[in-house]
Amino acid sequence: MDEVKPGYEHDALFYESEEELVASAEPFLRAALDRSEVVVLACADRNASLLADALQGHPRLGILDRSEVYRRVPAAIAAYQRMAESRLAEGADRVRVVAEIDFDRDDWEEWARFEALSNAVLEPYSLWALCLYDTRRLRTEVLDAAERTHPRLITAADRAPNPNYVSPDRFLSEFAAQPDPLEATAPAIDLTGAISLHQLRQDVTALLAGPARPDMANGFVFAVSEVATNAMTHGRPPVRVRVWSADDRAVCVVTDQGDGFEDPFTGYQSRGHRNVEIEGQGLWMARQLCDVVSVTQEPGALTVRIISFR
Amino acid sequence: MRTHVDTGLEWDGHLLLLHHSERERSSKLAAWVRRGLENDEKVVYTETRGGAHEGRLLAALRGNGVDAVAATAEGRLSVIPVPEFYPAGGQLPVVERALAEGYRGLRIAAEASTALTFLTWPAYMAVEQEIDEITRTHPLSAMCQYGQAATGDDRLPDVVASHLEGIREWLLSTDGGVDGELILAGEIDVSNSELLACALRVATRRAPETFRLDLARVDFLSAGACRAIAEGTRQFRDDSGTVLLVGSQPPIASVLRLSGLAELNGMELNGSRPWTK
Repeated sequence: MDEVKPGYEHDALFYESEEELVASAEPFLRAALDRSEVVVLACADRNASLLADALQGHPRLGILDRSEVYRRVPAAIAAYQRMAESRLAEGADRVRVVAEIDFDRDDWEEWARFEALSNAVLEPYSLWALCLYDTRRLRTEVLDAAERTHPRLITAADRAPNPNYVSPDRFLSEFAAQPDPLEATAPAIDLTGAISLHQLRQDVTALLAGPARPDMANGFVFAVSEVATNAMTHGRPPVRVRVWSADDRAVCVVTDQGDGFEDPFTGYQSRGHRNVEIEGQGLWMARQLCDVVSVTQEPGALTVRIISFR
Repeated sequence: MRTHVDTGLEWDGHLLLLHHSERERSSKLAAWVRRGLENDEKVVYTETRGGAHEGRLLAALRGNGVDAVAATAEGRLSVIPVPEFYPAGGQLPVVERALAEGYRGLRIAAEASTALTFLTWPAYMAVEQEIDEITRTHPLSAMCQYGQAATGDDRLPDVVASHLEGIREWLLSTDGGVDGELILAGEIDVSNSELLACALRVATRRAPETFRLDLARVDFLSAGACRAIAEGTRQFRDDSGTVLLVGSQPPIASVLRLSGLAELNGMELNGSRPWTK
């Protein structure tokens, strides 16, 4: 039996029928269970049932609630890392995850970025993720992004390199966040220059008072304050902060004239409980508290966009 | 304009006002003077006579409804030259003399840069220490004013050490500071997280094996503030001390958990009721 190669494997499976899904995924999973590997299903309930039935409830098969795993991107990365560490500590050679993110959500672009950056941040972990994409119902943009973020493709016939795959940093730079439609309107808050963080927090709190859920409002205010702090302390002036609020969401765009982060994956990875002692965790925390925190970097222009849905 | 955030903590005792501007200083000093006069206390402060600061303070007093002219004529309010404010015999005789006039208490106020035109830094710190001791035994309130910009990192620990019970920065206030407890009130962000770390380093040096950090009145805590709590208590925790983070409101507790602070060795996020005076 081949020795398990350490590191992260990341495959996509595009399917258009349940039969095709099972026929393509089952060999992948059986191969895992034939060796000392663990299989975890974090996919749609129906597909989890189909695959579990096909594997006849093997004792090294686990099922996770995908709505818990894929709540926010940094938490999903941490969940994958914990999953690998704990199962490997229990003696498994590797963990194979059947992943199916629910892309019918407002923050789907964040999850397209997750698919890309997982190739970098999960590289040290003995994980093999097989991501399911239902071509019958997913939007073209979602499928296009998936084609560019998975190094290999699995079909019922074989597993082959994906010619359309691009590196994570290239994908993140090319998959730039588009302006939210609200940004075409006049912002409710528009500050430039010497910004008082206290006043900014007060203004944003007042703007969100009423219709926003308290946890949404608190998370958004925290994120705005942290991102503005980063721009004012690490960016190049002038810093500009604009905030919009609508019935269904709040949007904040913070810009400065700096070149941005050296590490394109800044703010995505947990460093465990030592995180708190390391500078730069504000962005990581903001990403846990808001639906979208996207970074667009160009020479002399950094844009961080924060969106929270009500 | 930067105004002081009301953190709900009292403006009595030995207070450190870390101010960012003369406008802020005058405004807070005027409110503090008014409180003393309303409490039938004598108020003594020192200012550079005839300077722009004195004019601004008098205007702020008027703005706070204080008739400075009448209070001065009645002897309840005194502005005295710096040498008289810092007599060779120390502060205690000054305090006792004022209390002997029948007032319920005495308030004294001085701005550090003015004092340092007359005293050396070590001598001024000795005065601060003496005032700190007198406020524990006599009805004395002292407001010691330091410009934020002039209080560099090297001097901040000395200043904080003698005012732990009453730091009044525009966003952050403290109370307690003795017997292993420190109460925080207000907002902590990049502007004052170093002040917080410094206060914690000083306060935990005086703590027994357990140190309670009361966060019930904290309205905002940044990621950097969480780091300041970790850094400010590191030595204490490394020496086997335990820090209890007490009374935080749900949004603050959420930030504490997310930051990982509560998972550090020697740190516990405790849901029990905060300590109250």
